[in-house]
Amino acid sequence: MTLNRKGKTVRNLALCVLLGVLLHALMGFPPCTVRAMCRQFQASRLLAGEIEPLHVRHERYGYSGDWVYRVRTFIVAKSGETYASFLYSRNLLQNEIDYHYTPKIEQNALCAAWNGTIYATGPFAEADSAILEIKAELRNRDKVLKSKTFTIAGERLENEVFGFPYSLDMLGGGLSGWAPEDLPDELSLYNIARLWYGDYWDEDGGHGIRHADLPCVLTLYDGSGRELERYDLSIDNYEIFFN
Amino acid sequence: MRDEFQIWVDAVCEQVRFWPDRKGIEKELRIHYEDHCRALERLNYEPKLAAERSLRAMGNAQEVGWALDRIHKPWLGWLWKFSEGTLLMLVLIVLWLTVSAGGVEQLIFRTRQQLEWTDPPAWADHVSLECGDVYLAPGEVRETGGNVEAELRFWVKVREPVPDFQPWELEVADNRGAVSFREWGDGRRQTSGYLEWERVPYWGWTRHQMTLRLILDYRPDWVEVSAPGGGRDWVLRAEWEEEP
Repeated sequence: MTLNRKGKTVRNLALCVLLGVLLHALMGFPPCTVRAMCRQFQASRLLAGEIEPLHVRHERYGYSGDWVYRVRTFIVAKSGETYASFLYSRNLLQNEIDYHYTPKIEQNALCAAWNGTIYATGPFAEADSAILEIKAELRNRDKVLKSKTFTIAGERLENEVFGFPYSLDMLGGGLSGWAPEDLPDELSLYNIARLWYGDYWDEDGGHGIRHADLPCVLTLYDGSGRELERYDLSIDNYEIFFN
Repeated sequence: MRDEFQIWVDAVCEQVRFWPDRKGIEKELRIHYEDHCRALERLNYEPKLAAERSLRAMGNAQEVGWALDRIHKPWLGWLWKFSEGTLLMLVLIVLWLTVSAGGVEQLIFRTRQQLEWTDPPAWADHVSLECGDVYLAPGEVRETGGNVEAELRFWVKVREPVPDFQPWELEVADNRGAVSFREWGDGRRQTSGYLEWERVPYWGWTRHQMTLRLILDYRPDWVEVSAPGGGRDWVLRAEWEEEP
């Protein structure tokens, strides 16, 4: 039976729907919305309570080898009393979790850094302002050679989220070759997160950067400046500099 | 006259808003016109007269054009074009994914695992979460080379397909109070109290199974597993029967 134009159009559209479903399955059911990303993250990590995105940040980015720009979506979310931060990366039709940022899951409050901002999330609705103090230490085995505390004033981003900006000013390659204890003191948080945690291999002159938890103290204040609460949190140094 | 036909058919096609069809319409009208001319010439009409009579018989250009425009609706035409283009694009993408990206192997593999999923035993410990259900049951305990291998078997049913199932941030404790192990997405591990552990995953789309193999230097009586690491959002317990 020869189909008229209307029949051909209906047939084509039906085939498009079937192929679209097949394509979605072939790509592993990538989530299309922020809510879907949250649900997928929740299911993949077996979080108990209903998950709710608290703060979302989209950015265009290109990794080496990419043909087109990606859209990265950084999400801070809450599931019951569990807080999580994770990153999704969309490249054309595919949208999957991006392990250039290691997802974090913590109870009661969370501190996570990504691409120039440290996010603190928790039951902070009552607070008017917040201060974050991050401590970095340069160690030689068990001995602390130097320590530096960075104090950053927070900006309320959402009801339960404060943002603490830090500069992404990577110093030139010259300083990377220095021994950490010889580096100048006036280094930014971004540079200290890399340069104070390097392991240097004498044999071949190479070096790597080890993971380290930087202790953070989050202090919340009310409108009159009275301290409300303090939280002892931590962030991994890789979160600060590895974008 | 043939030039006059071109003028006439251009006037007809101008009325047809869906311009991709104009070429086809002109071709059809031209065939019709030329057939009429040949028929008249076979009746011994002069070619010039046959052409004139044929053109007159075609009708008023504007009225013919309006009638054709009603048949060749623009919205249906564009929808048809869109459906053809989209279908072609989808076919190419699916072919590319099938041939180069290994999408079909993954689809078949995980679909097979999904269908081969077996229900957990009735006595397995169970927790219902917002995203699905988790079951835990003790597996075999074997003594090998001076060590003890204790298996924990997980079954997971989630409500939506999960392409990347990573319940790795688990906290495990046993009767000796041994602490936790955690594995992060970047491969880092933190372990304390156990000699080693390994995961043997088996997962489909919404049905997953996993065997955790704990390598210890003693035989455990029970093990508790909680997640996410450090959270204890949920806790499951596996107990082994005492040896006779």
